[in-house]
Amino acid sequence: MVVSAVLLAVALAAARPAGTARAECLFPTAPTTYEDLKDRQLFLNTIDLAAANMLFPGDPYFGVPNLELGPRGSRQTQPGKVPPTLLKSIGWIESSITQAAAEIPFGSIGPALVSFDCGHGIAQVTTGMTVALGDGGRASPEQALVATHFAYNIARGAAILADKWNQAPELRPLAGTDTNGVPELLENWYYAVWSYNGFTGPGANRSNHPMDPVYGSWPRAQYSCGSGGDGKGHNRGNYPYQELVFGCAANPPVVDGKPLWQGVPLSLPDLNNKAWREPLKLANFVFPYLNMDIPTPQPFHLDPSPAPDPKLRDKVLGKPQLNVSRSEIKLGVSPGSGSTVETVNIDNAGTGVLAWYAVATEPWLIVKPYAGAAVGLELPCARDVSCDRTGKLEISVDATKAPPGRRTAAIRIQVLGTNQSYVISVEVSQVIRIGVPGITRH
Amino acid sequence: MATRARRPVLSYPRAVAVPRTQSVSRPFRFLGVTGVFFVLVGISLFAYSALDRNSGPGAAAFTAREHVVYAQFGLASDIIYATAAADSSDRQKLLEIPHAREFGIVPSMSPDGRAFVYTVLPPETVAPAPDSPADLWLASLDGAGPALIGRGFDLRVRPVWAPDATRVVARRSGVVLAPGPAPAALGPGSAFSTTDGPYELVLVRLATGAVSPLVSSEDALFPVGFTPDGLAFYYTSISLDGSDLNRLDLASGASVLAAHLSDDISRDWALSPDGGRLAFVTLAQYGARTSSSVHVRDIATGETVTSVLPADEFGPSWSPAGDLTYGRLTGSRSTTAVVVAGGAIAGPARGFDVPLAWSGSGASIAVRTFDGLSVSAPGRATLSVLTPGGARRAIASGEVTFIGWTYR
Repeated sequence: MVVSAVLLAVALAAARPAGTARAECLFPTAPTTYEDLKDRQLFLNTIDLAAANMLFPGDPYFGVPNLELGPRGSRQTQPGKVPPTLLKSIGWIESSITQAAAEIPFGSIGPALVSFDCGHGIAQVTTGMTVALGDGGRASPEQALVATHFAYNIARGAAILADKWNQAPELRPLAGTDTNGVPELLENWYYAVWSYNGFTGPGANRSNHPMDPVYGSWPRAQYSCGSGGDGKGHNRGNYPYQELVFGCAANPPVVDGKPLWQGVPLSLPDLNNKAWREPLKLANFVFPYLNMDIPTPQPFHLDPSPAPDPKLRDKVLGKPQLNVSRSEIKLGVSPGSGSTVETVNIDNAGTGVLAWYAVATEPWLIVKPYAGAAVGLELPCARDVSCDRTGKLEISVDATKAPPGRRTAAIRIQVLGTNQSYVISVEVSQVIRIGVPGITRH
Repeated sequence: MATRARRPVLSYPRAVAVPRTQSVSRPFRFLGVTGVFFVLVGISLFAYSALDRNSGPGAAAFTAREHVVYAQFGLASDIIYATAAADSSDRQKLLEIPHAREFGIVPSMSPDGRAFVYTVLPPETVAPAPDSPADLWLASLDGAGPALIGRGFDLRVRPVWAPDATRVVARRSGVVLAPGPAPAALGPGSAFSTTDGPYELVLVRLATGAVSPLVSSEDALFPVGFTPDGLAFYYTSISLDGSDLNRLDLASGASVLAAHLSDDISRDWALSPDGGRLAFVTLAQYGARTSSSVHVRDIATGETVTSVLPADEFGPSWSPAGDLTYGRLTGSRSTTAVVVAGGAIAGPARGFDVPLAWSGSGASIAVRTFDGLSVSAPGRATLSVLTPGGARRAIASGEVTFIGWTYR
């Protein structure tokens, strides 16, 4: 049996595609992005800003909406903020607080992290990232920002978490029935955090119900993102999502001997207590979850993170300055055999991450990739690491769609999040092959 | 070797039989049988009282050939060890299994203790998540390297072996057939996408990797076990209506409801060696307190035996002779025990035990020993082995997944 299985393994190894299968998401290939140094200080500062809604306040996509609080039937609102410790913990659980693909070293530039289910970047933003919302089947500018720019990615994650909070009580249960459901108490985010990953229970592919038998052992030690010798659990497969996040908030990851944030010993609902157990009964897991409201798990905690310095925003976002290497290009196209390819470099003469987005005026112009990042010189790259700060755009013609004859077109390069843009003129002419290999005439 | 006193022989607290038509999630309906209730409480108090009187070394010996196989969790790989129950210094590293960062393997030991299968997220998995498609591998304990059997399985659902050790039942979910040819060795449905889809239990032939769908449902499906003759298979389905036990005839493919186990979530299902009874755990209400409670369902008669004590009970496990074992915690160390046929094995000096599996000879049982005093704060865990006579030996500490027993 084992010998046969070994033979089978050989066959499988040959048949298996490289890497783990991933659905086609927004981009044919993941756009480039900047990866922070290993200490993640830039990203952690960005999380503090995003949590306090100090990155893009008022922006409908990247700003934190006002938060609802209070009992069912008499909800009020207050300015939107999410607890930074929870947002950091979510970032760690989702991506280890990394924006680029796993093979990209710290302090470098490379393809964005895109998971098998189309989660993008640090916050593994999936909501709104599975279907291209831009013109021509392309990602929209907002979607491109989520993939290419860490600050927008984190801000979107904060906005989504706040949206999950606000889904109560109409679409989700309330946590904190005894504390007016105030968002300052971290334990009141129990259902919002659960919902960030999917408010699912038994019967869903990704169940996060704390009693779901899919979580192998019962009882289970508290989850920890800390060192392996802390006596707690580190095997993520054993925990529902909200327990991962709460456990990580309590036991933060340690990088080069330093915890990434101050741990907060968050309390989970006590399943031995009727006050929490009854609402979590399976029979109550029915939309709109009217019987699942819970009191605040005890003891409750406040987020100890200090308010971020507003000056951090300028440092995080920088002042990108677009610099394009060419203002015009010429392409030759042969209807039978394709076209020439020209490359345009996109540099950031300013600071921060310049998220660029290219749009062609004609559908037969191929712009590849059409989004990416150009990185300012002040953002550090690690030693001995390839760190190409320049975006590279390849432009060609789809010979099957291009009309015959000489044509002119343009490519507009936008700097997302700013008013900057640049137009490249494109001249396309017919190429006539005259039969001698290597010789063409325009 | 730390040992504990031999326990006086006690009666296993038989509890109330639940009529076929009743759900075990409502055990208190039967507490009107007050006589039985007080008998039960009395027996249990006697057991706990006895447990307080530890006095002297345990007499039972661990069997020399019996080894505990376990996985020591690591962030990037799990290391598989075999440790002699009789001598925990006799530890042999068997293999190291790489996995996606922070997602350990989910193993299942073959009935003969000679191999195990495991699900694992490949190390190269991008942004791994609990529902990332997992690989299914077979690892022999004879030194041969593990072999990949198939792909696209549910990581967290432990495969269940057929009695002949040539097949396992595993679970897939969100599985849809991808267009185009799939690797022939994997059989139909081996290619997968991330589209949501139903749960599916499949029979996997280990020699070929051939996959045969058994049952598919929008309800959560969990494999439980084969009948001893291997002709039928039990699985549970969990929906908003509660937990059901189902029996699937492998020859005809027909599936029938065998028992409604609970109106709520059930878990930790364990089929008795003769296939006639199912032990499982639910959460039950005792006044303001909720406890996890062990139940035993006689599949043929429909009767359910359920505890009526306000104690947390864990890890139902059957001895080779068909006796039920489970852990019990009533809130203080003096009343923790592993309840076995005819009595109980005393709990640890601090904390409580959660049974895992008896060795093939029935000479000892593997347990997870927590050093905390409650379910909500169980503390650190240690993999230990106990004998019915009360001898106790720590096998491994830290983050350990018990795989099973092997014999060397």
